[in-house]
Amino acid sequence: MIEILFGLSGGVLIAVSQTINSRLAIATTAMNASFWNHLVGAGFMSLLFLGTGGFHGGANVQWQMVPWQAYLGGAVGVLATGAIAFLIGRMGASRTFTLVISGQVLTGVVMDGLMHRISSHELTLSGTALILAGIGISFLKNKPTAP
Amino acid sequence: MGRLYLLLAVIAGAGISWTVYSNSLLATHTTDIMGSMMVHGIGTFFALSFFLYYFYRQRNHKAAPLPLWNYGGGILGGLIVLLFSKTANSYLGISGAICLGLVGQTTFALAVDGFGLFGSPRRRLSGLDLLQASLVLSGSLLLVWSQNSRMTAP
Repeated sequence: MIEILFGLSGGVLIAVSQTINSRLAIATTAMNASFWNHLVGAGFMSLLFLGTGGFHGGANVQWQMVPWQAYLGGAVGVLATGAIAFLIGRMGASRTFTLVISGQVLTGVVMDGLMHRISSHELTLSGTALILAGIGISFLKNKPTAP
Repeated sequence: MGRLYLLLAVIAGAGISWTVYSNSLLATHTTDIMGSMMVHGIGTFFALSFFLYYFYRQRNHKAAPLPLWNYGGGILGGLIVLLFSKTANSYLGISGAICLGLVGQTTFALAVDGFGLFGSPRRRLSGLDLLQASLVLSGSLLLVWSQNSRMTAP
């Protein structure tokens, strides 16, 4: 049962973290907020890394085996974090997250489709249709709500 | 400009998809904690130029100092990684972790706007906002579910 709570609070913390970033983005710039998010995160994770044994903590890394794509996540994450922090300040958290989730899940569908990994076309089509309808509402009701 | 924002949000979501793929690739070659540390470290170096540009432009301005918690978003990023790997490695599995994450994210984002949490301006939520959130949420859960049936299929 406690695992359900872990998953839910993980989702809640994503919203909290990005809302905090958006405050910094409003006071300074979005990319500055993204920089601090990554710097503080790197510091915190380094402490955690050292606290759990550092390089002796069970990691047996063969660096020559790591593909180049694995290193790009940090850079793309900086741009995405900056964009989300910027947008929460403009359109509010719920609107931003709804659209970000749409983009996230639809990309997953496209990637699955390209790799011929879609097994249930009915479920995939109805899920995609629901999400597109959700995005469509945004475009219909285009005026961002005033704060 | 409004429509561009909507598009930017969807593109940012696609970017998050890429980072999830990329970061999990790094985590399989290292460990969860070491991977997340490297992701944040690489991100810091990449974002350094943006920070220096902002710092340079603000050099003559004396802005009022911001409350410290405004800088705390990154700490939560580390906790998020740990919570999700705990959930995904339990009986709930990866799809369970994604579903719960989406539910938590969507409902809390509505609360942030509705109650004006964390210094955000309060926004009146309309019926359309709720309809939109529930459409995207149910569509996403369907997709995760279809993926789950794929994973359990022989």
